[in-house]
Amino acid sequence: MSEVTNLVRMDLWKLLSLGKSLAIYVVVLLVFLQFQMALVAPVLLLYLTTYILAYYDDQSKGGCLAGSLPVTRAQQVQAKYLLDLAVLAVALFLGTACSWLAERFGMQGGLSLEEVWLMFLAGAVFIAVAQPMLLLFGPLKARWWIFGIYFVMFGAVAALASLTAAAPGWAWTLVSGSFTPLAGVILGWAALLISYLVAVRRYGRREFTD
Amino acid sequence: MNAIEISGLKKQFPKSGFSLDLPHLEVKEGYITGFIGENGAGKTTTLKLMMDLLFPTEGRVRLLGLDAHAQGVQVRRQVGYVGETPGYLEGSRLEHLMRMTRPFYPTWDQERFSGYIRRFGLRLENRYKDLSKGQRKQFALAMALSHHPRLLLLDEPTANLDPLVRQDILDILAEELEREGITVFFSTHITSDLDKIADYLLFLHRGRLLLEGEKDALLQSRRLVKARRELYTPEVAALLVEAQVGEFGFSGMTERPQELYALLGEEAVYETPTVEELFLAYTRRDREVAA
Repeated sequence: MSEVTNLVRMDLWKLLSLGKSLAIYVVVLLVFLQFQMALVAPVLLLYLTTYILAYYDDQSKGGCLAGSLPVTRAQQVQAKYLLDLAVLAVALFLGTACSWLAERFGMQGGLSLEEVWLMFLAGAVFIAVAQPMLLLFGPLKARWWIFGIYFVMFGAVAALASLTAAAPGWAWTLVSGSFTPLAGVILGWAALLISYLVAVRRYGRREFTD
Repeated sequence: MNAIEISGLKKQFPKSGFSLDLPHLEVKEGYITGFIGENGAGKTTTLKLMMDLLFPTEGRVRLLGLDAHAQGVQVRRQVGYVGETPGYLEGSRLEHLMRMTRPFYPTWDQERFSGYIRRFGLRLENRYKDLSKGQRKQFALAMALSHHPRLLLLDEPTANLDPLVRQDILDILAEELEREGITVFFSTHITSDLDKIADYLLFLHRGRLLLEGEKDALLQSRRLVKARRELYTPEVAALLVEAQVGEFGFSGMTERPQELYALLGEEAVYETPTVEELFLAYTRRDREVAA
């Protein structure tokens, strides 16, 4: 486990090194992020720690460095998922905190505490699709998959927002009849588990030819 | 003990058509071995196979008595590797790069690392992208040496460097060998580096090993022969590995200098070849055979 935490720490150092570049993305996201789109906030945050990190790392051939360290390929994959889950947890915490504050100060349009599971599901699906693609094919090829996820998620939220001023609430009402929060959480974890198993199996065979 | 043992190793790249074929290779522990070959000969591929960054199509690689694939973690803990591209994040400060790498090596020696940083005149607050090519190599070497590796694998460590930096790197390799008994295996196409410090030589050409052995034995047992054109007879040609025949004279490498001396006597000039001349002669012969 210590090697996995060392790898996570390594990625955190890399994120710190990307400070200015990430700051620009954060500002852009804050400008365009509407409160109604809080549903996909974890995805936006995860984008920074998955795609942007992988992009800069790939430019520097970071895979070769990781591959030459005394760690297994499985540990490298575990570290990526662990960091993603930590970021998702932070996003959920922030989402919950914001919702609680919004409720306390009587603001409208935020997520209710029960709807946090939708944020988890969105984040889990993003990790489940994006992370194996990034690990197996690198950010250049994986970007099409990630754009695809964005297209679906933002498209869905925009469509909901055009129908109602409180899109997340509307979404919640839409799915609550047939889809319980527990089912959403189970679905998210199942997607993560399958994704992790595929990533471990496939990344173990990846060769660094560059 | 052998630091590196390769048996029946094959690596094929179907897309490019390149194929590496090393039926048998041994590198003795405690020596500096130069791995020489032209661009695209398969040097980097061989080193990546040792580091488990590539997987063999057939055969196996053992480093320090351990299987490079099945026991890769134990192997890499004892190996210092400076690849063609070290993989350091361009925007990172050197201190951050050190901090992110250090925890993986229980034998990390901070004093040693600081010593190398001082020796190379590097500043830890600098960003990796702001370093020159030479400084990048120096930093990568400092990182590779600071955990007291038993085996140092270097991929073209002196390529594109000015003579001063190159000499400094070669001096460090020689010092490490003397002080710690480290085994150094480095690939290069700069043959003068091998003339200076290599104990053993391996010649790779088009994915195959052309020649191997102790450097002094390889050089001393051969002669570069130069003589007038009319002395180039079929008997002489048969004793030459390869010959360059011009309008007025010829020159060629021989593995049988005494027999050639019996034919040519004092009519020819006999010189001990350099590593470069040796490499060129065997590479040319291989090309002629292939043609």
